Amino acid sequence: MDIENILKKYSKDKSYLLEIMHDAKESKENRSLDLNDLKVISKYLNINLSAAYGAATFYSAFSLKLQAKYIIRVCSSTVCHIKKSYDILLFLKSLLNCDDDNLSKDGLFAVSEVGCLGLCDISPSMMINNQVYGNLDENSIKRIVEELKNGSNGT
Amino acid sequence: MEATAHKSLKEPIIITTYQTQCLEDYIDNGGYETLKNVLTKYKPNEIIEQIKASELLGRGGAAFPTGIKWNFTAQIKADHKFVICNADEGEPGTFKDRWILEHKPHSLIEAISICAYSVGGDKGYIYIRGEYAESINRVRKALKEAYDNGFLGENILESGFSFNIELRRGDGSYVCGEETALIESIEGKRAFPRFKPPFPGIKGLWGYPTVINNVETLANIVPIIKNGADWFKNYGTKQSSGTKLYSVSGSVNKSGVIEANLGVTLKELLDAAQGMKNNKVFKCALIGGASGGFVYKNELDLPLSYETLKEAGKTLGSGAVLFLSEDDNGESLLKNILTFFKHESCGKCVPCREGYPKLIAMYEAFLENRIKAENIMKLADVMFKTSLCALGQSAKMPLETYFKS
Ligand SMILES: Cc1cc2nc3c(=O)[nH]c(=O)nc-3n(C[C@H](O)[C@H](O)[C@H](O)COP(=O)(O)O)c2cc1C
Ligand code: SF4
Repeated sequence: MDIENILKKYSKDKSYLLEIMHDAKESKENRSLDLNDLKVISKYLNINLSAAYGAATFYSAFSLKLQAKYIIRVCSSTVCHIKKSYDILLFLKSLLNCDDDNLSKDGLFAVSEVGCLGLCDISPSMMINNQVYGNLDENSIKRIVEELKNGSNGT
Repeated sequence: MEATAHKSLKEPIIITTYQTQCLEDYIDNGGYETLKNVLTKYKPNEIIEQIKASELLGRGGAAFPTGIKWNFTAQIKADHKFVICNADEGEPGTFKDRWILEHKPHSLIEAISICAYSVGGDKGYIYIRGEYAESINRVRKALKEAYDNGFLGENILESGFSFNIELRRGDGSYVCGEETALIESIEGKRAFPRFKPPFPGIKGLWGYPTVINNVETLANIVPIIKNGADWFKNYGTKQSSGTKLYSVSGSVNKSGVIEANLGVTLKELLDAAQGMKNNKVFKCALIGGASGGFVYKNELDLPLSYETLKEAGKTLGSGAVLFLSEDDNGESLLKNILTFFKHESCGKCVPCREGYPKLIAMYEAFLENRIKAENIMKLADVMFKTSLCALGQSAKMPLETYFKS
């Protein structure tokens, strides 16, 4: 869905700003917003571009930088920290040959470390786009990544 | 997700199902009967009196009496009033609201509607963190079912009462769970906490009186109205009535949500979690999430209620219980906590924004024996006294309780 069609779902109520940004992000292959999206959205909601830009840069779910088809969020908070989430993060980065911006060499994955995902019962955990994964170890991570690369798990 | 009622509970209040309740299941189990009774047989202030009498305390962390909160808003005359369900659950180690959102979404819709009727609210919002994709799906579906069947919208159950609830998604911000930051976020802004007072109950969303309650708080409303305040007070301790959903995790055999009486002991929770993993020795537990405190071996029999933990200089907070064994590294956990707060600081006020990086540097110096714990505590204390919201105040408790070990 392009941005114009997304806007049609919403009235011009300012409280829809994040909802629209969520939908816009989901509709993009690389899951990032660009300045043009923000211009169109802010015009529609009748707010300043700076307000839309401010929101888009506050919530870490949104990014104006190039992201990837698969956004991997590795939980790093208390419980997962105890369960060695940092090792998981390092393993993922090396498995995917991530560069300094945490983008994988093939451009398919963007890896980040995030606050508690509320998956403490299956720690260590991560999310890839909207899918959750728990009780991770090196083997399960390899398998998950392989599956995504082969396109057998479209999330 | 594993969710169980503790064996000492004759009848759980919240964990009454093991599957997601769709509208049909919910109605089969008496769902929306309470709303119907409320709308047709009770005056708004009678409902508020019931909630006050139950002495229900907010389950979002601050333990403010819910009936008193509702009463503030009910007393004010205004063109609009709002009710918000805070489903931004972000306190590290806490996952109990997720269970409620995924299993009993209709109980929240019913409770929000009852709250709106009691305080004169005309619109409700359920604000869910975007990471909770499954919760969002379930709540969205439940809202549609409620609208399609006349439990929301115009003239609900032909009572003359009309009310709407909308869903909003956050994502990737811990401070957003702070009530005024959440309100800013619904308004489409960066989630900077507001100066309080005025409190949201007086001046909240778009400047109108707004009741904002945690998911678990709301999950208690229908049972209280249905069974009465006295029934509710059979649960828990004298000063902390009801049950609590404890989010139990860490180096135990069985992590999960456990519903138990407020006042259950740490030892009882550890037993319910089937003991420490690999028969390791219990070292301590972090109670209340990252902003909570450490509890040690000599306190295994301490009842986990709001008043007992407060007396012990700790907090129950969100009810997160992270068990650590002798092999877990408390030192690095503490650094993880400070780093989390530094990352989540919104930057609006100086003590928190500048304090956390400094605290981390001092903590590193402490680990190298270059400074004393009391130096760190001085800064944590200044942050506690001068930060605008509780995020900046949060370092004090974990640091203090860690150093006292
Ligand atoms: C940094 C911060 C994060 C918070 N996160 C949450 C949260 O995720 N969920 C919640 O219900 N309350 C959270 N709170 C507490 C809310 O500000 C508020 O007290 C609560 O939603 C009130 O509901 P209750 O009275 O039903 O507990 C947070 C507070 C702070 C300072
Ligand atoms: S205490 Fe921290 S999170 Fe709260 S308003 Fe100040 S800078 Fe923002």
